[in-house]
Amino acid sequence: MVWLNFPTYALIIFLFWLVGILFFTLGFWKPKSNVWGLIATYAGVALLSYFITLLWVKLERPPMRTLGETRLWYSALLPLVGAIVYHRWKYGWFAIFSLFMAILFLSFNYFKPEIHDKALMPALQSPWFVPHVIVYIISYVVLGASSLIAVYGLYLNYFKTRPEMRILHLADNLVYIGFSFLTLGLLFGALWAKEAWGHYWTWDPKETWAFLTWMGYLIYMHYRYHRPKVFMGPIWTLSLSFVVLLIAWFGVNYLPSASNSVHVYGG
Amino acid sequence: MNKVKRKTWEHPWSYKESFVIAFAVMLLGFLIEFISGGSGISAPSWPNNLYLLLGILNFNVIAYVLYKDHPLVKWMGRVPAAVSAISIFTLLILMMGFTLQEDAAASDLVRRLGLSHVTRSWPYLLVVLYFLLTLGFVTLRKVLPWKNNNIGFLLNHLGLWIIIVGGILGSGDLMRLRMSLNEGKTTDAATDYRGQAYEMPFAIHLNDFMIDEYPPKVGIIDKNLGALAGEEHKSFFEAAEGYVGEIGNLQFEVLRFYPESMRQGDVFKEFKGEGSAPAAEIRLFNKQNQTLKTGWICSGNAFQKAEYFDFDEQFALMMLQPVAKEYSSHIKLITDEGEEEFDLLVNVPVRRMGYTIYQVGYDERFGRHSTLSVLEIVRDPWLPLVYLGIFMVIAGSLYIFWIGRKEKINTENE
Repeated sequence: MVWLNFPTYALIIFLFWLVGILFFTLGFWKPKSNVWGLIATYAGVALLSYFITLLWVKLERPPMRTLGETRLWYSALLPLVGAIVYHRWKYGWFAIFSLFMAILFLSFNYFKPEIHDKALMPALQSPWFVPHVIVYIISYVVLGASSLIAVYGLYLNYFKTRPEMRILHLADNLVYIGFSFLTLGLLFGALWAKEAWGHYWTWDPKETWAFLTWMGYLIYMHYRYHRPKVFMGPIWTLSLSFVVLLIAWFGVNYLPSASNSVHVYGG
Repeated sequence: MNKVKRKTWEHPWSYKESFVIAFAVMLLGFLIEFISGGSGISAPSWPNNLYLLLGILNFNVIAYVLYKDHPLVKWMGRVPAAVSAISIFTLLILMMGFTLQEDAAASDLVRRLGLSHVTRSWPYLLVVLYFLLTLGFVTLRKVLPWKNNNIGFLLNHLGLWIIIVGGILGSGDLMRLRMSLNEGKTTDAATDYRGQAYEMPFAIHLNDFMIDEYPPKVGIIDKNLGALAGEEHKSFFEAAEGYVGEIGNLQFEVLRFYPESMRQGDVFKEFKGEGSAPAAEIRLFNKQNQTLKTGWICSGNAFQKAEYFDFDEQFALMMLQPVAKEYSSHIKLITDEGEEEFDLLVNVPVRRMGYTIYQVGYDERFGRHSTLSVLEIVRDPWLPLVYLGIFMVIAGSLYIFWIGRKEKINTENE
């Protein structure tokens, strides 16, 4: 089964978001142009959401099975978080970052199109499938956003030598939201596994790395709580936690320990 | 903040001491594992796991109540010890994440250190104990005396404590067995992952095993490579009657499709019975050299061989094995009290007599002709406790989501 006409959709979305980046950049000098940045962001999100809906209808199953399919959701939701953060805290740079990341993720799908098919293995045909994946993607999006702050923090430290404590407060807000979704995703997964595979936790490689991700953010939250004035420690914890998150999401498929995972999906 | 610089090992201990202790705990575990030859430890079963649970709980509570102000107890209930415990646990699981578990081919050193069976090893046991103790002390510190706005804290910390204790101590009483059923036969025998046999307090008769498949996919293979053709041809279409599609400069039309068929002379005929396999007749038009060809393909199975459509020197069309959409067993459960018949589906286990019965597999070589159905039978008496913990942490997560980081950052906790 081929992609609907994904390249056309993707190019229009790229165009919207590049325009968005342009306006948000102009916004550093002329704050009024940020409104156009937001409009372009929303237009891209709307178009991508429309595409995902079409794909869902065409595949007759939730498009959440392959890595490529999860990237579509990610690219749709990340700019949305960027826009929400802009509405709430007026961080133009953050909106630019999130648009840039969304373009990057979507271009994986553009340059390496995958083959979709309708097949959904019986174990995935469960009412838990959609909530488990959606909750995880929201969590990955929000935590991905917090990692953008970590990158910005590293940049400030090594090129500007002036830490800005206020960006850690934004990171805290994102991590608390992202972490609560991460926990829900993990536990929904456990409850589902009990129904499908007989046990709630089997240290399957995907589970192992999901657990490590969870522990990484747990360290961040405790350390921030205890040492609120330290800048670089939390920034590094945030960066490394996101690396672990990426391994849990994509990397597990390539690890030697994954040869018997139930979670290794194509794409 | 004016304070005199504290020497290492002078109370109150902080990160440096906590990490040294955490590392020592893990190294001690590796040492014990190594000396004991890398055989690991098995989780205690009933009632020893209950005694262990009560032991940990009593130790935590008594030490806290009696020695609340002892520097060691104070240290264990504070963030540095917690961070060290989370970190060391993370480090151990990280090592596990890079090592294939329960691998018979693991090197001797990996096996002797317990890294090939982390969750049954001494380092795991000690690290988890350290983790549980810090978690226990911090929970007690926040809960006594009780304040209502600590509810989120309690749900998350106590919930996690319950999940870990219930999960690890419960694993000693966990039974996960496989039962293989043949159509028309009755059995009460099941085996565990080591192959040890158990007799169940009930017998199961398999009336019928049923399977529903997706239409198989059709793809192009490169005969020189003996594999699916490269990027530009790497596409599939579904063998649905009437389907018209294109791959590269080839146009396809599925003229006929039989989910169950048998070869008869030059063609395939619909046939529902032993040995049937899906087959399709495909018309192919090559736009480059304007030729039209028609041929049959069949995915083949254990009873009849696969049929390829050789349409030119390099390429051929093949039908892939169909993928299961749904499979289930119609079974009869026979107990001392009587008999009961029901369907068992993937994802829909049935609970009877303290056991949960799952549909897990069949003989994939035979696909829809499989007369074998594999069930999993699980007994996990500690599950309610683990679920209590899971639901507490779910509630705690919703609390975190809702409240976020409203509370003041604790600056005096230095």
